[in-house]
Amino acid sequence: MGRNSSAIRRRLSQAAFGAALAAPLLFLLAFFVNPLASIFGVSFIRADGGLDLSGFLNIASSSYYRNILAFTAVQAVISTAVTMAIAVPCALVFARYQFRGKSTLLSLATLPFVLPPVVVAAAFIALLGERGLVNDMLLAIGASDDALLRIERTFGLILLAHVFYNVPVALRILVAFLANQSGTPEEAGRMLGANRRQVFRFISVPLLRPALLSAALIVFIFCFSSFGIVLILGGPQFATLEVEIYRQAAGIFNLPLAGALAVVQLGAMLLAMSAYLASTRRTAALYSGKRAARPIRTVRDRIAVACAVVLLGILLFTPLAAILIRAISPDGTVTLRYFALLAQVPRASVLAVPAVQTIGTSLVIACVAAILSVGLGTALSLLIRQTSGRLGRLVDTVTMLPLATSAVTLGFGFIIALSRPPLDLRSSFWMIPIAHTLIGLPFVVRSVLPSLQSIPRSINEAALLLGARPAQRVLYVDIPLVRRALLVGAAFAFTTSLGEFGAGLFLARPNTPTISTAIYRFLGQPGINNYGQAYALSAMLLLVCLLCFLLIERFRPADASEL
Amino acid sequence: MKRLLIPLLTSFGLLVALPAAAQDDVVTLVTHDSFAISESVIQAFQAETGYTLEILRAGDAGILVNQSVLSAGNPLGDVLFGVDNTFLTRALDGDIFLPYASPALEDVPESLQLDADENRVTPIDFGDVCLNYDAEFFAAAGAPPVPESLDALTDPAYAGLLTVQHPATSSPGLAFLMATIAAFGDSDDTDGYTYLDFWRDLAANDVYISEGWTDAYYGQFSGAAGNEGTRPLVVSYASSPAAEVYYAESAPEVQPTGAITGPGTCFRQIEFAGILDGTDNEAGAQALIDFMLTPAFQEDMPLNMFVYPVIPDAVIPQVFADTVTLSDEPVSLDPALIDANRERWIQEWVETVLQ
Amino acid sequence: MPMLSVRHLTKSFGTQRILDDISLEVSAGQILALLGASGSGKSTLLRCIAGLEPLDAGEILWQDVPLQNTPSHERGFGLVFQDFALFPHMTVAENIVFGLRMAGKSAAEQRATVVTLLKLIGLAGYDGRHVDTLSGGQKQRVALARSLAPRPRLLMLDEPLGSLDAVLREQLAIDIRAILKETHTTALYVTHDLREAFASADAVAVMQDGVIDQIGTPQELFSRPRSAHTARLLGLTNILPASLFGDASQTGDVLLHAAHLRLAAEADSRPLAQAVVTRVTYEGWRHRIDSKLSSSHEVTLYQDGSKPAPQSGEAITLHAGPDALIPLAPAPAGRTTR
Repeated sequence: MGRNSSAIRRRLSQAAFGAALAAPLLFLLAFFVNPLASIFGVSFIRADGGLDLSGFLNIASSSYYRNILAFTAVQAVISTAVTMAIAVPCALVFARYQFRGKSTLLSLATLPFVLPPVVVAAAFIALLGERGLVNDMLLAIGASDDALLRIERTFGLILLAHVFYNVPVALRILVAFLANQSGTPEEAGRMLGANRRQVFRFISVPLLRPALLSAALIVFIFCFSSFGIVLILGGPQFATLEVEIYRQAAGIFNLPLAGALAVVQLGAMLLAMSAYLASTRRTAALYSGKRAARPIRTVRDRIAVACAVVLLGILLFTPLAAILIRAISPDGTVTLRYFALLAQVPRASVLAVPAVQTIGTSLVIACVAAILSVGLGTALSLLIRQTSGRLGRLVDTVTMLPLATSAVTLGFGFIIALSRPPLDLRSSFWMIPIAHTLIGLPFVVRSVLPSLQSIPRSINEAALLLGARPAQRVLYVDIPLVRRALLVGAAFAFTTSLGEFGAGLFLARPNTPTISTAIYRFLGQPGINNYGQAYALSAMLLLVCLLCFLLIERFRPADASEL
Repeated sequence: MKRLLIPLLTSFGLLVALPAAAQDDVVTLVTHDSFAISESVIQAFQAETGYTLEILRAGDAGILVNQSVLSAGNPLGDVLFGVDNTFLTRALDGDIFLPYASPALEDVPESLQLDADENRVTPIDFGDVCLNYDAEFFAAAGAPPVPESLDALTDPAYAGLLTVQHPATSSPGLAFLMATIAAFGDSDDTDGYTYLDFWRDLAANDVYISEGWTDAYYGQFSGAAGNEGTRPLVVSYASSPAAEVYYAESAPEVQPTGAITGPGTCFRQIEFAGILDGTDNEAGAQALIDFMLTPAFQEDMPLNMFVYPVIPDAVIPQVFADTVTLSDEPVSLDPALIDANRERWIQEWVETVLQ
Repeated sequence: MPMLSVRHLTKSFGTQRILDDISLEVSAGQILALLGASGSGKSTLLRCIAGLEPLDAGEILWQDVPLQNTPSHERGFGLVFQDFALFPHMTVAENIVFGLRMAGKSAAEQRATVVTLLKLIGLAGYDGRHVDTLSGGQKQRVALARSLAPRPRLLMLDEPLGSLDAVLREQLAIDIRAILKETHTTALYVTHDLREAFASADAVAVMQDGVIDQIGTPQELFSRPRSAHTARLLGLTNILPASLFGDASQTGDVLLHAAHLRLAAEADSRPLAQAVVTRVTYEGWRHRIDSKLSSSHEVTLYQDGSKPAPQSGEAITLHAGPDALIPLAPAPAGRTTR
């Protein structure tokens, strides 16, 4: 009798544990595979069930869409080239020299990575817009009696914002790589009779090439799928694929065309993503040890370091300073009026709720998304660790796919897939948190899985033999041991959700705007009240992101790889 | 774990349940960003009917309609106001409205009732989408004359002066595009100057494309009071000059802006309201539609949204009568024709203008 | 009645047969050592018994009840790992009570167990210490205490001293035996170290290439090793063809047991062979004397270190005591793939 009931209990607890591990797969099926399948559906299948290639034919035959495709690729290539041109010399300086404040600066330089695109867009308008700080200053010193700098709605401004976003990404990858090069190959080269130039050309550059490729690819991916920056800073004249998907779907309601564009975007991203993953594997294989940075000795050293520090400082901190300044002084006089306005809803406001409420909405969404991402991401990581071989790799790859799927595509997929039974979530609170969970999931898995895999097998077996059921083992041993990684993953998921824009724009309902969509709507309206509120809201979002960033930096394992 | 889980689940439960717990005595009006009405009129509605009115602005008219079509059967509110004749067929095809024939419809001219058979939508106002000009700019010495026709806009004299709205994201933008199609002919008109030729010339003449009306009028147009816009010509409404006078701090000696209402330059836009299918307050929604056709509402619209009432008896404010001229020969296109071609026109426009 | 019975257990990884038809029994309170070189399959056998590896064939029973469908955490067995596998995020006390917590035992019982066990392992007062701050020997004892805390029906120790200094091992093995005896624990002790096995176990099972060559008490093993392999494992290296010492037609090998070889005739001995000393090594309490027979076979013997030893090159006569010549069985039919 006792044996029987314990057997039943055991079965039940095994079933529950299995279900807990299978839940994330069901989640991915319902909220990732299903929306993507729906996109393929609208782009390939007519209402009567026949094959519909009109969207693709449209793209292929129209010079407008060909141009969008070309612009998306070309702007990404140019943005990547400029980014690398700045990041590579800075990385060489950072890797070579030891100087005071280096690690702090390097750490701060990654801040843009967690900044929401709307905040960055607002920051560049605040700094370089026609009524931005730089023009104000030029007017003040009498350099001109009209706004001198007219780069709003030009490619130049888009490019600057992309460079701002991506220099830190490239810098971090390159510095991490350079710091893990032992320098012995170069020394061996010198011993074999090569002069400095030959060593650089035949040893240093070939060694660095995989890291360069890997950094360039990830920057390319980010720029290729740029949405908020292009939408806000570019105006109607500029469109990446992402922006055009949004316009076609939300504005013109041409779903087959939007679907076809999304399929093109998805294909391009998958291609770039797999190239990136391959390049990171090659890069990691070249890690050969630590190289000690040397102190500044000569004037040349000093100039090199000063140039790198000043360049990074200007690039990274002036836009952020601009947004903080504009938040308390949108028109030259210092006031907290626009922060006060955030709490009100004038009848004519573009928002149906006080703007402060959007902060609450976004915080709740970010909490839910972070909790869901961490829960599902942990379960997925456990599942990947448990399943060896091909199946584990498959699950691993599927988990990374949301990273290759742009937020706009995801939002579009949600709109068309989750608006009909059995999954009708249109008016539900859950749409955005679920979309954000998918976006946060890869970050959590990338953070938790390596940590989980580094737990010695014997520790888990010890727990098992001390009578811990699998669920207890996870709860009392695995999770406490990966708690730092969990925290970092959670903070990433939280921050990403907080500033997420593309999916939110599709999914946020007018009565519950998110903070990003609210900033976007304020920026789209003329008048000092709207700009003032956009800056004030952006400054608040910036500060919250800064807090999260500090949390991430505090708990990130020292030698964690990037992404 | 459990200690955390329970309060979390409870708070999410509340969060999810809250929107669903709407009271029956609230009527939610889903509308576009430009909707405005006097506070006293809202109070009057609440006093007369006992319903509380909530206003939800969803974006521009196009986004409003699309979002409503996407949430068909599960609407954001009870009544949608702001679908116009350029988007009408999309909304009707999207099956988002419940039919309702308001008793007050009797007074509305038949020419404005575009869904007279089924009454899924009720006309509420109309207006003409026209070019507006900055009077001060054109009065200055050396300035070109105020353009009288659309053709004139391609003249180098008007280079860099005009702001229009993107037809995909703005209903006056779309209406103006329709006006040019009516004026110059569709692109399949092989022999001759089509609307695309006109737009190509306009683009060469440095036309500025705004996302929406607010950005164009208050952000770019130099005639609007108190803003720093630099372009003296904008696509707006025939009634916009009245707003400039009405809102001026002191009565201006000369009208600061004017509308160009010559034959064939304006597009007549009719705005409709409809009861959203899936409403949980159909009675309240009907009461709101009825109310929107009462003199109280109709007479309040002109000075809030600068449109004309559809009830002929409604009294038009003096400033309106003084400053607004409706076009004698406004252009209009058959909604079915618009629906069949809207996407093609927008795409052709995009390909021509935004290259 | 035996507590643990292993019957005809077979296990392969891929094409590699790791365990081949293993059978053994452990009775209540007995400590059985599994002695074998690395790769002999002893750790795999332990993991099979623990339920960490599935079996290919055969069965494992506890008091005649098969365990095939009992998952590891319900077998009531304990395992001490070579790397100790202490939970790094817990204190000494938290590590020790982990098993009791899993079983839902009261806090009072947990506290009492910690006190008793820490005293038993000689680490009283270490409750709140973080495990990272312990020395290797201390970690080993905490790992032992952790495994003992839930009173396992069977405690398995997998090279428990393998990562410690050699000088510590023998003493620690004696300590472990004392603790196991004091707690009346039935135990399986895996080691590759003869001295550890003899110091800790009541009986020793010698494993080679996935089969058990011989099971017996340390005395039985040492006095009568069954095969050349076991003899070598016990440090008995004088393995010569049997044909040298009797009928020339005899096949197989014979062990000249060094414990029963003398340089001079004694009452119970007989002269066995002539040899030449090739090397004499002073090992403190004894001399090791390597010699060579005329057949070129080498024979090693030992002599009390306090007595004078023969010189290198000296001719000697080997005298055999009554148990000096032990016939050896052929190599067991173990894995043939390696």
